[in-house]
Amino acid sequence: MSGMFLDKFLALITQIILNRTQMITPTHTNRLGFKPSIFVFILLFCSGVYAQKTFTLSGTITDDTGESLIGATVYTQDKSRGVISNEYGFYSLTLEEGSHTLVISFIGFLDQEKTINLNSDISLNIALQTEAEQLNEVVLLASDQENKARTPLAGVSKIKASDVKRLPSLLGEADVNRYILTTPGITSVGEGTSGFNVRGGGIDQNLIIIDETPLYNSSHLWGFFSIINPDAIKNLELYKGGIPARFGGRGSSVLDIRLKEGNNKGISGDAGIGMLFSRLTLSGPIKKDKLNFMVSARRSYFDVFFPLLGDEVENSKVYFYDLSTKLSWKINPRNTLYASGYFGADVMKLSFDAEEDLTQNNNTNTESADEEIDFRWKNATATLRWNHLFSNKLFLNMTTGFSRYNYTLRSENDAGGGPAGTSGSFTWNSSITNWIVKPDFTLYVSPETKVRFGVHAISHEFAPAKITNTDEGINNTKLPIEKGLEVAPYATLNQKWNNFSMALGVRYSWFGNIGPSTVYYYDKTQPKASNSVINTKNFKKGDIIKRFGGVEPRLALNYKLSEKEDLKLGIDRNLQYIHLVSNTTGALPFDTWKPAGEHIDPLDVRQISMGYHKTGGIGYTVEAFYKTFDQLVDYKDGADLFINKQLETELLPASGFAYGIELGLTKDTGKLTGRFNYTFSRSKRKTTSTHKSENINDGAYYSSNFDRPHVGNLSVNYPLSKRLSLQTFFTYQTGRPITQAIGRFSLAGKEYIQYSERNAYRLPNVHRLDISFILKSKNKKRRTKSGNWTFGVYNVYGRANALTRFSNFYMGELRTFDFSPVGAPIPFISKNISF
Amino acid sequence: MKTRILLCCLIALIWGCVDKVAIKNEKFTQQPVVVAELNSNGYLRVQVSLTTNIDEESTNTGVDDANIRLWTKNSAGEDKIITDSFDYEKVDNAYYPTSSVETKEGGIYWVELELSNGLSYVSRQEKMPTTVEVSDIAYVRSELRAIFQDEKDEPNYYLAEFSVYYRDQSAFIRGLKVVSNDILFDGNEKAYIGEYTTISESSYYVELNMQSLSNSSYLFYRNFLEQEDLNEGFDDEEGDPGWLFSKPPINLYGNITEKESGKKVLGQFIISSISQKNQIVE
Repeated sequence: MSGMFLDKFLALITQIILNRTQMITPTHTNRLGFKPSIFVFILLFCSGVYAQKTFTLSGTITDDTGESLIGATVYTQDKSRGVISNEYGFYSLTLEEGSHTLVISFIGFLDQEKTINLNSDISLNIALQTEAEQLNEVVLLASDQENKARTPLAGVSKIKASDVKRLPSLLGEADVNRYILTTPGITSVGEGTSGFNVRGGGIDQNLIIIDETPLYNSSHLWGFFSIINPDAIKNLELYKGGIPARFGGRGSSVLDIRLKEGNNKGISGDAGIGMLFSRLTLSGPIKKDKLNFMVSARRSYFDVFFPLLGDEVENSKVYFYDLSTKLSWKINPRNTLYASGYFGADVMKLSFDAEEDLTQNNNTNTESADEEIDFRWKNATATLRWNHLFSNKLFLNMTTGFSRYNYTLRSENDAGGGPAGTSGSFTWNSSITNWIVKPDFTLYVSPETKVRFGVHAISHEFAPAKITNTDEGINNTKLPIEKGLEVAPYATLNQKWNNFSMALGVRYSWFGNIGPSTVYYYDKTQPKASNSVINTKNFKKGDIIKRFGGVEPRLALNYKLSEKEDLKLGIDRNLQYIHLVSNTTGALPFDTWKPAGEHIDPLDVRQISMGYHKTGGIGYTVEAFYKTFDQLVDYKDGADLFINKQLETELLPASGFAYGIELGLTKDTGKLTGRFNYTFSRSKRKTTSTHKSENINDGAYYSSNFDRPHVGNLSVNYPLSKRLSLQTFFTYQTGRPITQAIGRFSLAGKEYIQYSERNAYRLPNVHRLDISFILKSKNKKRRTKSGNWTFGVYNVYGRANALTRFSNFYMGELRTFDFSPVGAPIPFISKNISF
Repeated sequence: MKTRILLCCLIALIWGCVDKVAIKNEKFTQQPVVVAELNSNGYLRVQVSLTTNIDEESTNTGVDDANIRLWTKNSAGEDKIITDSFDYEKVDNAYYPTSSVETKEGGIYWVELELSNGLSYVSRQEKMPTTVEVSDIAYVRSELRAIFQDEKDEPNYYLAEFSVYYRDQSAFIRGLKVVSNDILFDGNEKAYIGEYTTISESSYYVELNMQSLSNSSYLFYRNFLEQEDLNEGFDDEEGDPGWLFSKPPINLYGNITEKESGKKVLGQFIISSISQKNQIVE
């Protein structure tokens, strides 16, 4: 009943706002009991007043398997008016009464022309046909209308799964994270580390969402592989700037991953066997055109070979797996339900026999103990989304989601293996849990005007550590659970005027740090330390310990110089209420997340970016950005972050800035295709403690760990024959900043190292060449499956790109070592099939 | 332990490599190193030295003309000098041992130094922690443990120094040092801190020097021992895949700063309460 009322209510508002033949009159306002808001006036101003009667054409655009197409264009033949489909393939185009010829197009698909006699509102679903021979090796050009309809956002990269798969990669396994690292403005600490850094932001400043639900650990195998199977991905968009108001909660970027809905016509799939893991994706209808499924799974199997490596590891297991699923149910033309889930885990179960020496001493011993360590970390998400059409102009996506990241370290041994001072068997659990509710409305006012509004609510629960122990000398220990609630209403107005377009958004985010909790208060005349506590306060369940809030304006402007040339400007502010606390070279699965609260403020990131883009056979982009970071969290030198009830005593407030210019060149036509990009950027930070003595480098700016001024990437694709193609990738990057030994001193006859200021030196520059070949299967008539062999070499000339540098004294000599995670050429081969 | 787990977990990453490299150190600036130790037995010693360039072999850079003062707060809360008279004795680098000074648990202490170049340094004011009595020394599952009762709710920090001898004390076998906070055994009556070691003898004699530390001294010792471990931890050039996740190296800064600039200097004013226990361990 209430749903019907809501439908009617919203439909009425839509009518009032939109119907250009019926201007809002005092009668309408009185009947609804509210005065038109300023926003409505803006809408009216933007949408204009038309004398002619209009009707709306709406529906979904899919491919020939029923998979909805994101970003497909529906334009009038004269290209004067048009729209693009949203994340669910929905479009809504309002035109004047009469006959219109429309062109529907999407990259990689045949254009469709339809003549519509528009004398009433029409619902029209469109299925586009794949190009007859869509060569993987050739990137098809965006059509003119697609260029015209492009979103006016600076700093947005749309990534196709096919592009990810073509990039030569470690062990031949296509990897989303590795592909992202080849795009302009993206750096990382180094090979094998988890996450990526966007325009000077930390890895915790990336919002990675899979079907609208956040993921907290984006890597398998400690950072070597992405947790997302490319076969399951329909669409990937990376927002580096001009982040739309519907996204929030992170400072620097949004990686929006959409899983495939799957084939609703018949069973189809992809499979692959590689050196590291195998994968299988299946999709098909449960009820044709109504209910369909997609399941995609991967599992690594290098642990299968452990018995061959000897007795020491034969009982150990080291593997990972992931499972992506989706169920799509078209209930009726106005309602669609999507249920999707992701589950992935890394398992490291290590067994050591009794003869292994557990000490750091050289003494031989017969009393060493058996030991088994079982460490596993898991990501799980579940999302339920309901698409509902209130009218042919008002679209709702209602998302409810759940996300959980947890790790368990279990030691069932004689010798223990816990933190310093512990022993015996123990289990350590930690988790992060999110619940999300996000009603997201899109109002298609006219082909030129669109409004998107909604509320994004997310609850956070961080359980840093729960340790159970069988040893009587060690307590069962539980660090307090921390909770937060983030609520953010938002609205974005998308408006086009001839060659000028704008996305003006605003998001107001509110965050409350919620009890129960014990908060420590410190003597402000001293640096925070456990012995400078002057008071504690216990907050009860549900108490708001501290609240924050702020307006996050988002503005993106686009001016079309020509059909193929754009000038873009993006300005945005992003508030981030949770921080990743880590002081290791690469992020670890057991790093701690900390919500803003009494002692930690939310991160405030502001960015302005502008760019020039040209598309075509040879396209190029130039984009520049400047970004500031306030209320960053940095760690003290030597911080003790491991099971710490008063983590704030180890942290320092910080600020920073980043700037850069990104140049990109693409060649999408001809046999030789490829991309080249070069980024010059800097990323600096400084700590801002009021206690001067604890500031890093005496409070001066220093380079962030991922500050790489020069980054160049080149990828080239060339078809050697009809079946064989060559892909190459070359990267050159400035070495990352490090802290290095510069001096020495002696205490009680032993020598110790004096180090430089933090990040005062750099590792050697990084470069690497990867080559792969794709050999397609022979085409046979009536063959329903296709496939290819992929083979090549990662790190062709065996460059050892250093990730870390360490020095030590050995026999009185100071020695320095560079450690490279990959120091040799790695050949690979994999077999992939589609059916 | 984390490093150990990581190392094991990275078995598969056989393509990693370690290269010995030569480094340039054009950014070297000489710094003073001040390590002052005061314990509940009234023992005080101060070492002042200077760092040298990494290429220079000699590290004999003791400073023997520093003016040093040990301060405390009297019962009225006023600052009071305990001693500014130090007998100079050169051992390795410059040491300034004194005759015993009177200390008390809960007392506040700090040191000040002036060097001949005009620079002066001061430590943070530190409270003398409460002494902890060790009830037993045990060898359990390859771990040598100091067992004691931890005080509940107070954050406590400990340093255990084990000296292991043959049972008849005819020869020294090895020394072990371990530091810990009490997060995992807060208030536990049988709390322990220990270090893994393997000893082939069926029984042996252990001298234990158990120190309660201040928070800053605990943090200093953690980093200090980590650097010692790095020196002793490997004797070949194979490296360690655990470095992928290691912490960046850090200077051994503590609670002493240059008075004028507020800059931290290398070293620490270590304040500790000491108890000792000697025992035959089976």
